[in-house]
Amino acid sequence: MEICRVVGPAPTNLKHPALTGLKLLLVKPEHRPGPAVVAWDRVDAGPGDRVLVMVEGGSAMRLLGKGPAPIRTVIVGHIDRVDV
Amino acid sequence: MKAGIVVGSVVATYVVDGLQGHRLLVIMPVDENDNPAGDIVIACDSVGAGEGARVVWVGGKEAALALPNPRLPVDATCVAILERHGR
Repeated sequence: MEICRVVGPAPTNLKHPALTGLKLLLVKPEHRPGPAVVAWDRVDAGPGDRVLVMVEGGSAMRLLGKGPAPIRTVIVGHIDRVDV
Repeated sequence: MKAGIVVGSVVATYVVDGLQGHRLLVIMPVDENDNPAGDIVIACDSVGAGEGARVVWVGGKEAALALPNPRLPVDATCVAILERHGR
């Protein structure tokens, strides 16, 4: 998983049917360079929040529970603290 | 499977169902000389690894298979503690 910061919402006006109703957010990885990515929010995160992001298609599809679906990146946790 | 060093932990109380109670480790991937070899990953712990431990971690869909519930949404798990490493 990765530690990311929520940049903001990722509104869409046209979605693949499997993604209908999913809340999508733009999240930026904190510990590596690279662009922000779009993730399905499962923990009611908001802009500025530090979140745990899981990037694995099989797990994402099981969470969604609709069989094969074009989904891969999911916010699975709301981070309170990182001890390094 | 890759080698890494545990450099910290993550506390996240509001998580998806099933993930509660799992320790989350901050792992720095390392090469055979313990030099950093890639971006840090957050992995579930399945072996009780502490900070500073050299470990083996698995990424991808196999990561969940190391946990009691193999259907959890997890993409990295620490699966072993290394005694020696590359020497």
